[in-house]
Amino acid sequence: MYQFQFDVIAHYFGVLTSGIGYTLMITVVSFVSATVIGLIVSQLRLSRIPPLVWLTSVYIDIFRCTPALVQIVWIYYVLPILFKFSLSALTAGILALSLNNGAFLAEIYRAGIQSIDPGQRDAARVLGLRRRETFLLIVLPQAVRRVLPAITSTAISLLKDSSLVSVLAVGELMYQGQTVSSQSFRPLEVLTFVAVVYFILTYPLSLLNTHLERRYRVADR
Amino acid sequence: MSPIGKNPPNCATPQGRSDVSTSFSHDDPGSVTPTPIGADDVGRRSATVPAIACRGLCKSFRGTQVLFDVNLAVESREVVVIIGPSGSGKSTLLRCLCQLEEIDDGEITFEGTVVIRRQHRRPIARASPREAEAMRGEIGMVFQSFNLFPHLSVLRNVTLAPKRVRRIPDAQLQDLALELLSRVGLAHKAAAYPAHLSGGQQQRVAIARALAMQPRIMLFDEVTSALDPELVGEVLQVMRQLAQDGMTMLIVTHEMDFARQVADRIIFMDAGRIVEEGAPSEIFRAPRHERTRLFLQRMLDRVGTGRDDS
Repeated sequence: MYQFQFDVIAHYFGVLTSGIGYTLMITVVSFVSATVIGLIVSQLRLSRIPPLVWLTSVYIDIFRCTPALVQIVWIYYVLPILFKFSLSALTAGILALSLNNGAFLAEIYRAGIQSIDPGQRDAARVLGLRRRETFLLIVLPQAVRRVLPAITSTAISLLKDSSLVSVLAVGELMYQGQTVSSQSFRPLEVLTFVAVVYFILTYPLSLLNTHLERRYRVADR
Repeated sequence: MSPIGKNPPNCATPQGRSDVSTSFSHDDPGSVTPTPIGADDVGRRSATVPAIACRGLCKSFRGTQVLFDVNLAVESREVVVIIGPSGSGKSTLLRCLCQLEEIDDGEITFEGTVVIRRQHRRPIARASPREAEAMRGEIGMVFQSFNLFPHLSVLRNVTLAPKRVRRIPDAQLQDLALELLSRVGLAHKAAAYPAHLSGGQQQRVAIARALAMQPRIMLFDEVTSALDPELVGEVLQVMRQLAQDGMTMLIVTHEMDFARQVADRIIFMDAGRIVEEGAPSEIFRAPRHERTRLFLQRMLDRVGTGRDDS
């Protein structure tokens, strides 16, 4: 029977903690930009202006139907050569994750917005609210509540998918875990630790979702 | 360019021009001397102009025409009730008047100001977006399906528009909302959410919400049709009170007893046209048109076997 020796974690704690920091930073930045991308793209897609509808659906299809890992590698290695510019590994990783999750969020927001009864918009317009106010105060808050579980799922996958950026040697949790494993010859302890940390980071998101859903249910139904 | 009133609008079919198609209320100057087209009459106001009016209004949805050359004028403090079978274009007419639908042809004026005027499907005059927004706030509308904002409390449903559109300070908003809510008998529900109210209560909140903008005219689109029969009375009671207080009202309803009691004038619509109009006593006792008579007969049968809430 293998003897786990978890003191290796304590020994490399600084490196692993900096990995956690990077993982959180990549996740938060990517999620915020994916949210902005998703909102804008869903609006363009609902605009009924044919070229915009077409462009946004091409974007969504490309990023939903290719693996995130391929997108990360492609954006880091291929894109700079095609367009003659340089991109740091961290930026490339965040860019790829933002675009990938932006595509998923765009479809989630679109579904949420379309599910709102048109009567809500009518009522707001008749009261004299402007289009932007109608969207921000009436449609969006209701849409977000309705698709909250899907948004949470996206956030959870994003946090886990940030581990893919390790292929670009960005020092996030997975990359540091692999580095520490090979230096310490203790991959079982280190990788188990990494797995537990990912769980500890994602599980609160799941709890937050349950909490918010319960809070909104009081008002909605 | 010629006045719409002189030329038959291109969307009206000849057989559709019923004998009352050009009848405005008698004191409307527009039916006698058509207003000349041009920017000069935009913004014109006088004591005799109707609160809201449309002329030669045509509207179609994806090739199916639902309104044919509709002429209507509601005077200030007048209560006009539109009756007619479902699908006759009553609701579409209201939606056009409050700018929820873009019209194909014709003209809509609000207190003498042109909201939109289109001829041969092209816009000729229209209020600026800013004016249009302002006019929207002046026209209150209550819907069949309430359309309260479910994520906001009753109080915030009522205060949202006055706060955002009229920029009324928070201190006054609270008083305004509570006063309106007590007018519809729901001050004690201010903190509740719409989902916790009965249909009748929701509709009364919707009326208070519309009133909070202090509109010059209120439009009611079959506001009791989605309610359980025992909840209809409380909503009609609020509307009766409003009419007594002198609110200008344009009401679409299937409640014939209510229409008879509250209306200054009844309009009967069928198949997208105004078939006839007149005082409730005329329309209910001696309708001139066969279609009106048949419709009233059917409604009477329904009331006979169903409820009577008056």
